[in-house]
Amino acid sequence: MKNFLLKAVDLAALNALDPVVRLTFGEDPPTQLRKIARFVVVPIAAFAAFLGIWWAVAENVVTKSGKMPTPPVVLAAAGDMWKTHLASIEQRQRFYQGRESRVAALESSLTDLDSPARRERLERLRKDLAEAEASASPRAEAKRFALEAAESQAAAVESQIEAARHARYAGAPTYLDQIATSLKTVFFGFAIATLIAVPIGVLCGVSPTFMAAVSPLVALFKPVSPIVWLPICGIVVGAYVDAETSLLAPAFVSSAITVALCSLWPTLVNTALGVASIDKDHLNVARVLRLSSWTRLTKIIIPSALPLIFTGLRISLGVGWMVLIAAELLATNPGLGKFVWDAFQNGGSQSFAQMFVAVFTVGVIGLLLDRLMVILQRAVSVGREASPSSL
Amino acid sequence: MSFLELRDVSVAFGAGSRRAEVLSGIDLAIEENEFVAVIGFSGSGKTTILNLLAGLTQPTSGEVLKRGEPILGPGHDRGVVFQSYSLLPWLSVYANIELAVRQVFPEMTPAERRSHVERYIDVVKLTPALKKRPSELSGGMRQRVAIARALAMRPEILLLDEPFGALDAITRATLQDELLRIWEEDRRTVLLITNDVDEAILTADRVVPLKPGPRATLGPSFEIDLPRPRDRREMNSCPRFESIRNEISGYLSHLGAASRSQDRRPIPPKPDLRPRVFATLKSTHAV
Repeated sequence: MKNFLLKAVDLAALNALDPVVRLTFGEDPPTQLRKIARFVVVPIAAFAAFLGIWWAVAENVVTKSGKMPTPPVVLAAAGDMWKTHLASIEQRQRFYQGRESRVAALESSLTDLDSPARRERLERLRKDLAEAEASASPRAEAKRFALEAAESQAAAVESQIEAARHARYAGAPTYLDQIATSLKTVFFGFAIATLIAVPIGVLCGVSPTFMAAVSPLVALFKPVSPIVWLPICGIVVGAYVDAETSLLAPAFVSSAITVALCSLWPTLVNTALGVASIDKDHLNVARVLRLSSWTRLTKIIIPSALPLIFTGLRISLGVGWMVLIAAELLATNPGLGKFVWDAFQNGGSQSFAQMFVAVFTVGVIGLLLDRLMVILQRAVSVGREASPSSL
Repeated sequence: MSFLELRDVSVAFGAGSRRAEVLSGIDLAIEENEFVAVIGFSGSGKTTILNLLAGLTQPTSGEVLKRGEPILGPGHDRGVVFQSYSLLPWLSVYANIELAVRQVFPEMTPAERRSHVERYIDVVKLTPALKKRPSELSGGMRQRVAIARALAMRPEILLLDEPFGALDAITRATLQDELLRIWEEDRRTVLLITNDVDEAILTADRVVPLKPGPRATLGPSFEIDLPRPRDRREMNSCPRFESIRNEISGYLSHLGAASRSQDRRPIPPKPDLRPRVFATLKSTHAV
């Protein structure tokens, strides 16, 4: 049990909990207490000190948008945002429940239209029309209109039902919706980056010629800031992705591509490094066994480079997350960045505090993404002599 | 025509002023099912000889032949055990060996392959560690895996590159005994590269010294006419073993002295610096 927990703590990269687990199992309490003091108490104290300094500074910073929010103000803002979210969910639920009853009402009115009385009336109108046309009466035209109007009544109700059935809640997205959008965007962009960077990185590592061809491009584009890519992506995506017909919104696609363009470099460089620095002994094994190029790639080269590939992916995801928030803010694409921009623009009483909430949200999510990648990285590095450090 | 032959082989790496001639004028003939040990100082080019036979290195001049046919590359007829084990750290013991077996015997059914792999893991007595990864094993166990991997290929020729060099003395002795046992059960051609005279005499039919490089050449062969199966404990009290060991050791130390006196390159003057810690350590020692 103890070893299982220790292993889980290690795999989850929560090393600070290691002495806590050991202490609960009574292993060498003085040492564990000292470790807890260092790795648990000290960080908490440092965070408390940070809050204190923030509080003291915030009291003295007065801006046009009001006083800088102190920790309790920010906490209160976060609480309000949560309440807004819950209220919005409720409203949305009510809307969708209402939609069902609206559809039901329309459907019943459609059945009503199919009554014997109405059929009789239509029948009579048709007969009238036929008579009027036969006698070439000047009233034939008017009768035709009356018949057509009566016939189209059902079709009109049907299209109303269709519209009601697909009606969407049009309320503003809440803070949590924005977080979800941002996460979707960053993972989409990260996936694009991975799909591009890993194969190119492997090719670079395998072939010095390919590496020579690609490295000037990498050196040239790697330092380009996301802010430069953003308008270019916006224009290009706008030309090819239509807001009405496309499955993915153009704003989503251009944010994701910007994320991809900025975050693919660490993966590419690390993959190339991992493949190029493969242990020569392992390549000799491949030669002695006469592995085919494909087997050599899948059984020797890629497994051997995996820890470094994942190091690259971890850096990429971190970069992607930072880039995304900036991209959303600048291009007002939906997401956390846009939330900050909106708060900045509307200048409500809580806007300033809401921005602080956003700062912490971005930080916490970035931290969680990084932990996730550390866990994956450790999982693929099992059995290696020197597993990459985990900070 | 010998089974394996190196004919006037030279190997040089690099070009121009950086050109380093490692081996020069190497002639070696190995008969089928003969156990030959090449012994030499570290850095003298022993591994290069093995790489030539493995097909990992091509000679700069001369010929490397097997049954009269030139060796142009690695092949499944030659199993190699590398000095550094060269196990794939992300694969278990079983998977490391299975990778080789799958490659050498693609026609085996999964069940046949499984029993084949397990048999060779059993030969090196590693069945309890079947599912472990190399990092969970001791050095000796890793080298057993490497040996099992080479044996599982059922090669005609086994090329061993200082297989026990990185092990402690006790483990080394155990593994030497194991190697002898396995070889006695299933004799085949073996080339053992080593720097351990006792190991060479204990295992080999013939010991060939490699003179120190650069431009290393082979010295005269020493036939080891000790009866088989050989037992380590008997060897310790065997006068013939003693005399062969003295002969080979004497030859090697003579070679070493000769190479040092031949080396007439000027030694660059060393700066007269000594780490302070070291200096104080020395002085306290003197006191």
